[in-house]
Amino acid sequence: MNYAVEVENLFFQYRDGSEALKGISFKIMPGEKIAILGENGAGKTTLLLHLNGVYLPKKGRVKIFGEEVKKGNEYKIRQKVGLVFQNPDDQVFSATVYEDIAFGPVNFGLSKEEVEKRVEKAMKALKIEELKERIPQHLSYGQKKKVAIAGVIAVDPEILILDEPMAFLDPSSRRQIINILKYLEGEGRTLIIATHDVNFAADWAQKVIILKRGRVLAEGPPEILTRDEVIREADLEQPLVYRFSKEILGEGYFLPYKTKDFINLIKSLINRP
Amino acid sequence: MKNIASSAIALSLVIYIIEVSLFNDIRFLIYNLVITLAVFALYNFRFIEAVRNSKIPVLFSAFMVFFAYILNMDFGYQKYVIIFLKSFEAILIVSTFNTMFSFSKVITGFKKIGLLSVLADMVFLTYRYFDVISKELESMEKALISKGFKRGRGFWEWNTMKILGYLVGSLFIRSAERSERVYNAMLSRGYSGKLVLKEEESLFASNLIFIAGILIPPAILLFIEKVY
Repeated sequence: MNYAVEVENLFFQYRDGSEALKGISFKIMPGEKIAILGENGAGKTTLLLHLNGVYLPKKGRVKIFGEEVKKGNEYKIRQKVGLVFQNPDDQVFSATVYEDIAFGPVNFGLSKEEVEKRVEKAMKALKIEELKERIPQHLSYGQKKKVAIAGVIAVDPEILILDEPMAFLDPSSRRQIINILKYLEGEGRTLIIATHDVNFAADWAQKVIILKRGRVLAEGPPEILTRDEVIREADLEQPLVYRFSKEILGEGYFLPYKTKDFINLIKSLINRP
Repeated sequence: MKNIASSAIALSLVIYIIEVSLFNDIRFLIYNLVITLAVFALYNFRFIEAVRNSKIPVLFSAFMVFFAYILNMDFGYQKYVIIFLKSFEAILIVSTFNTMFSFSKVITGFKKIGLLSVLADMVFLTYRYFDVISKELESMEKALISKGFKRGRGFWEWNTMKILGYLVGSLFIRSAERSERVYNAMLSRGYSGKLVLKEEESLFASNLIFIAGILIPPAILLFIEKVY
């Protein structure tokens, strides 16, 4: 079977000797929505940089649609796997928003017409057409985040990775990012998000991978976020609606972990004769 | 016209700076500054923004010139005023061109007239991240103040010096870490050692009139200064 992503026994050590990844393995199907969770320093960002070919495996293997990431094909891999960094100031650096979104398509050698088409499409998808000629450093954090996402979408990758897309966003920008994710899902892309936000992961993801000190601690459907031993070991929290339901209803009931299921449960309780 | 737009911009910048550097008389430098400002006013562009963008380089230049003066007062202050005026006019014109034509066009122009590509890219990224680093420094200063930091009786007071040393050191480390993240972000979007900037736009006739208005007066002033 051709997986979108296959990671086999991946190790990574920084120059200072600290081990960031210690034998990570997992597989992701095309079109899946994956949340990678873990405390600070768990190895999330290092792992993402391997999926995009910025870091090359020294031990272990990473395959993208069956093709092993290695020296010589990393440029090709970066066209297939787009990576949106946590801090947009690390990513958005051109003189204008338009130029920044065009940065990827231009580097990948697309024709001028194709670059224009892609940039216009990405700006429309992110609803940032009015920012076209603005200078990135004068934008708000949320606007810069959208420009960073548009810059990666313009490359049209089959797999899109977002590192902490909700970090430091106000509620309105957060809602906008969630809508953008819905749009990207609609296009059939494989989406991978690294996050600390268990509530978001429970609501959004089809599969969750929890990292702990460079290892995969748990992997599976978002239900695993309700398991006490996993959550305790990962230093995370159970989803808020799950904790709330557990507190109100106690054991022995169906305890939802998704907001949508929780709302349905409340409605059914209210409507009960 | 389309293919020479950025080259013309970069070349006129270089010519203006050479012209200004050739003045030896303080009066002519002041005349040139007044005429340049008049051309700016006539052209009616975002002058305030250009001045605001040149604030830090001008302060840096003033500091360096003042420092040089303190170290060697034998030549008198006039020589240093001339150096400062020359740098001030050069910074002002660079800032003006950036505001008017966009920095990437100026950098593309420098590449076209023979400046090393890697050097031009470094200038471009330094310019972009200057703002980010300034904001970082500002927030670090605020954090210091919030933790009760007060400057001593003067800049040279030991504790003040020590804390500011930590601040600069920390900023240096943060900048180094940021540069790695920026580089990774560039790699992930297909960067392969050469920054490809936006395709050129045409240079309008009004731009050419402005460039002529900036370059011709100092040439005439230089001629008068050298001949008469």
